Amino acid sequence: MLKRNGENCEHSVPNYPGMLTNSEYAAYQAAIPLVAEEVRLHNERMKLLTDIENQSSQIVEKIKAQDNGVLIGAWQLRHTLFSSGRGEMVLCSRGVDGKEEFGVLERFDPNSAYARAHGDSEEILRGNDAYLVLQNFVENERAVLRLYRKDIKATVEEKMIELFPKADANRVAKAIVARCEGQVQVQVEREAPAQTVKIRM
Amino acid sequence: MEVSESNQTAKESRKIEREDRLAYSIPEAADLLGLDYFSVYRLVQRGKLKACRALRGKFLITRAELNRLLNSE
Repeated sequence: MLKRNGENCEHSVPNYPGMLTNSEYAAYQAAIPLVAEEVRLHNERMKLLTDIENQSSQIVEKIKAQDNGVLIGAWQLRHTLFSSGRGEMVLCSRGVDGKEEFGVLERFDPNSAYARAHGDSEEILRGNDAYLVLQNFVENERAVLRLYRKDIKATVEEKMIELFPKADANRVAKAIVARCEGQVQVQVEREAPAQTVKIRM
Repeated sequence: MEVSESNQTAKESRKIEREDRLAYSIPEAADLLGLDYFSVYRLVQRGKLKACRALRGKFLITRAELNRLLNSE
């Protein structure tokens, strides 16, 4: 059996290809609840994006069949992609030189400091093909989630150094980020079966 | 009522404390801008907001950068 720092590497965890030692595994178990909310938010958003990607054709069909929607500046709201307490992302359309143009807009809380400085909506991307606009939107949002994962990893490392100075913080953080990448449900578990496949995005 | 007043005071004191800082984490920057966390990551990803990386790679937004964002068109 592989040993590291005098300890057997005997614990496997979801979506992480390596094995953790006893102290790394204890640190891992302690870290999971500390970032559970972040991982939950990440996985929820990732699932929403997968749903949008899989349902792009239906969304496009639906908006083509719609009558005029609510106006946002020159744009007409066609479909809400997702919303949070502080804003939403919407798919809109408008006519330009006799052709229909589609755009994804982000709407902000009009009372927010950002909206007061920049207006309560912002165009994220646009194009003449609604399906391509949606696909590009999903890709962009996945890039946003990659930044979020970097922060989750950094947060875990920070907390690990405080709580378990002897454990390999980087290895534990990587194992936790692997949970995000595989969208594994976040819950404290006793032991997980070995996984041989690592999913990368 | 007392509870809500003390919550308000706590919120205000946290805000003042934050105003003295040189840099903020993404959740703190999101609170100051009144945006969702993901909106701030989106601004970083689109290059509209510059983030620096602290030790361990955590994203930080400097106060100067936040002021620049709020004062730019």
